[in-house]
Amino acid sequence: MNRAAAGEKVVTDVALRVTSPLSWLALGVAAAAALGLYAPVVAGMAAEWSEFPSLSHGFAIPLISAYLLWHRRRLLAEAPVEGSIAGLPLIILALGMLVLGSLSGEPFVARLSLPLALLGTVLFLGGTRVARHAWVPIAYLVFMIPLPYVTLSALTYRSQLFDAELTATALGWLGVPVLRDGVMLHLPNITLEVAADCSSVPAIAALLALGGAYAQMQPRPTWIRVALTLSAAPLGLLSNIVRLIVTSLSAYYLGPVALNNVIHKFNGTTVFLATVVLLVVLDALLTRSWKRAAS
Amino acid sequence: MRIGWRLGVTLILFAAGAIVLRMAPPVKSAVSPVSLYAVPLTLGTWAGAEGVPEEILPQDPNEKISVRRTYRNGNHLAWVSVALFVGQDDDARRASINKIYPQRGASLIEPVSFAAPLDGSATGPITLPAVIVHQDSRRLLVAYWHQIGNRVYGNEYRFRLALMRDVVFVRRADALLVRIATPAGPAAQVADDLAVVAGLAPSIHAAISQEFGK
Repeated sequence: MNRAAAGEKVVTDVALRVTSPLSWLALGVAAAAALGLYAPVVAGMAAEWSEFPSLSHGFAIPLISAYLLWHRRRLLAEAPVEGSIAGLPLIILALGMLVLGSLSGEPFVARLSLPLALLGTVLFLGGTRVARHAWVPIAYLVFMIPLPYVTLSALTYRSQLFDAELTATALGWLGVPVLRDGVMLHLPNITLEVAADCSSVPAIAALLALGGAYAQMQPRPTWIRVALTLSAAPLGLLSNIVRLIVTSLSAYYLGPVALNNVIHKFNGTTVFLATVVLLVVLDALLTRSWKRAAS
Repeated sequence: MRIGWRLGVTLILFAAGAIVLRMAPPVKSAVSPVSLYAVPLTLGTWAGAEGVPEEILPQDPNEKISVRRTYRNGNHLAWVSVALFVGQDDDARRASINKIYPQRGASLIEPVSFAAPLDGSATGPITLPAVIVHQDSRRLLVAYWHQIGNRVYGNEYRFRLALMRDVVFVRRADALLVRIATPAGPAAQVADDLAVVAGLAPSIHAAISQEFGK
């Protein structure tokens, strides 16, 4: 055995020795303590997930995150638990955010600190190699955090105006006489309002989470994963515009009865399903072009 | 560093966080709700009367107390609401951004650029948020600001940051929301409408700051 091989054996032996069940137990204890500390924060989020339909995807996020962690179990089991001091400032930063956010009644700040605390804990106790495999499932938890209402409200109103303008333009192309006044669409037989509920902005986190989960489901090149994750939100906006155009056309040709249809009443579900279909199509196109380039 | 030692450090940090959260002193209010009525009925050449229609300036269920007045100055008309919000370490007790101006049935809410010399001409004008609300045939100009003591905030994020700082370090959690509304004319007349609000705003600010500027 030469010197390099001997050194490699020593490193492997040390890694195997350190990656003992006790190390994983320590990580489990720290994660459980973090969740205990954050119990009121999680309870506050859960209350909002159940109160607002546009946030109900929050319940699924920890489960998907757990699945992503489970999916990497082999890589995690092989990674040496060696700890990294780089995790300590992350834990301190997260705790500072938790205290600031909780005492001042800014739940977004407190909530945002939860993934940071978990990542810091994994890095501090598990080390960089464990964190390398665990950071995606931990970062995925960000999607469960409701956006601050001030930001969401401003984005929603801009989206309403944008949606109304695009819908009016499309209706004009389709030969439907329409007069747009802000978020109001005056058709000859009915006036429609592109209300806040009609906007896809409140569901943007859900759509991004959907794109992120879809991208992680199968082995793919990183650039396709990133493209799929980032495409979910614009595809969701596109689906919503199509839904508004279909609803307006139905209202023009069929009257107010059209507003009671499934597409309009279950707008969130309609947009979600349409976005899934568009993601699958985009995935097929990207994968085909990647395979063509590879061959 | 051994794993046990690292775990110990982590648990101590978590415990310290929990203790800080548990031991924080309660928040206090620096403004007495009763003193809100010190806002004078006459402001310069403006004469006021009690009351503001709900459809002009909606009342926020989170406000502790508010003074709502209708002011007239010749042909000019303005509605004013000064509302006190307390206990804002609970975000559910803050001024709702959906209740600042009427939104129901509004076809368009148009932001307009507005700066008012709140502290008199000695200091520069302060940029305040203002919107023109289009509701059917009616147009309404609404300008507003948040105030903590003497400090005026026109930007929602800056206000929240200041409130956060006050709640954490001083444990003070009260703030005022001041709103001024006036009927708005056609687009060409916006400057005149803004001048009406700009004429009234310094008097209201002076009256409030004299009473609450602590």
